[in-house]
Amino acid sequence: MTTQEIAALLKERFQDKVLEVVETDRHSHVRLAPDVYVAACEFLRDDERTAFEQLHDLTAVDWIDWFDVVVHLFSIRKKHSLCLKVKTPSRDDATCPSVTPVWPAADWHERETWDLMGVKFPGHPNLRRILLPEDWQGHPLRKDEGNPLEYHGIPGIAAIRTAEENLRAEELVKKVQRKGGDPHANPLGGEIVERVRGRA
Amino acid sequence: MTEIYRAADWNMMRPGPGGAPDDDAAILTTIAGARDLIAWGRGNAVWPMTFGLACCAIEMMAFAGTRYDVDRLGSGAFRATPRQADLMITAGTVTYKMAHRVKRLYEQMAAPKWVIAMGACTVGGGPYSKYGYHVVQGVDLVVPVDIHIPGCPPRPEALIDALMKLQELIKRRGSIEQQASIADAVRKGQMDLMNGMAPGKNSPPPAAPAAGASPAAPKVSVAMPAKPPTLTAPGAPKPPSPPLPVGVKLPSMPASGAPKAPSPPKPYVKPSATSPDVAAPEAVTKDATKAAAAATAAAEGAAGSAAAESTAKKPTGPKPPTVKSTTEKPFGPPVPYIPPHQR
Repeated sequence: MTTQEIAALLKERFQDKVLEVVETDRHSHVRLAPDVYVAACEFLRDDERTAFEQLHDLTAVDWIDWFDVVVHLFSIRKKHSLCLKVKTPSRDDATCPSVTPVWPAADWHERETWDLMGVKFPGHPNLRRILLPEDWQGHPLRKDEGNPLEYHGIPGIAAIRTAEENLRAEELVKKVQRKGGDPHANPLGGEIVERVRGRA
Repeated sequence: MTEIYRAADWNMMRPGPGGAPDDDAAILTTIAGARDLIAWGRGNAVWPMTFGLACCAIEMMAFAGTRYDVDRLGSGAFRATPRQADLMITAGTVTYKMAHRVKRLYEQMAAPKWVIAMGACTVGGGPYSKYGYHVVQGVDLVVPVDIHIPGCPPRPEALIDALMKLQELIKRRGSIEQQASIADAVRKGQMDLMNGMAPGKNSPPPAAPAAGASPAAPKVSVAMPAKPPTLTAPGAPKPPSPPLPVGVKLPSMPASGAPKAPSPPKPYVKPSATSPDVAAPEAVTKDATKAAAAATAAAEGAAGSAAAESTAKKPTGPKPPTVKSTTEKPFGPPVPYIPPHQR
């Protein structure tokens, strides 16, 4: 079945809760309202016409104002696949119902999505970090997330670059002062500042 | 051998301070000989730990296999426990989560122990250096490293080369006095380089630190590089820099006595096109001496023209970073992001 045919089945049952159906050559998806998401997943799994036994992938996309949870399904019996998308209410309230009761394969995918993107899945039996250490702060694949400055005393790239720049600047200032010059007044000062900046 | 065994009491041979109560020259000669013998034995039986972190470990397995056959160098006995291993090959990407395991494994190894940092990731973060949120910027931030191997991943031949260099290192070190004086000489050479002098020319030759304590300590021959690359050519005439116009204020430099504090995050700023040292990053080639000379020439050649440009439109570029405490906020500030469809 094509995405359009599956979407017709969904629309027949969930009416206007099927928000959007996009079918292109390469990538088709069906966008569902969050409140019928789990029910629709159960329907897609149990109905003989769709028979989606497998959940291939579950991930999320950061759209700044909201997150899209993207689910890829596949049917071995029917040899067809489907992409579902669900929007979270907002960026601050990044929640989406869990489909782990429907497909146990979603368990680790939802944990990973929580770990890296910070999307919460109410109904998940064990929503903990799965890849990062448990004391990690933040969710690194969010668009507004920077790299850590340090982790338990190991400096990150920003700290190392800044420390190197400071060290170079200090050494050059000291060198000028040793020769009896003022690095800020000396005509060489400009060159030194440029050199520090150029190698930074 | 009886003499060696008598002298080779563990407490006397131990390569650490306070090891040998040296008062008899005859015994001392034997101790020095025993140390050489032990160093020779250690160098020819470096047992690595069975320990791989990422894709470099595949090359490490090839290095241990029959085709490259590292057993002929005495390092084929990969031990499955750190307690029996002498060498840790950090083969692969070290993440922050793994770093503490790596450190713990290193601490479980019995001294003397050595580390080879294999591959670009363990040398300096590799391809994950700039944008990876999870990769340590070089395993030498976690454990002390003896040999670094570049490459992504290095060929097994490179690892064999590193192992042979490590063997030379182990055999050359011999004693703690030698290690200390080599480190001292290297440090002095670096200080000379920083002061713009040729290393070893203007400073007295390094004295063995334990010379007073043990007058018959083994003679140290420190092998310094014959002509390390200097940052500034000593005899090259400098182009005269134009004096600053009155009223132009240079960007403030951090004070030399600034307190060392965790530095704030700073977005990486690309060097501007008018920067006089724009040729410097291209100069990282294998021939360091030539490259350094070329970079110096390019920098000094560009200094005249670029200095004129920079005086014309000052102040340019970002200010040098200011030192600020970020202990309560371990993560950088949010980077403003505009998605592609809104640009």
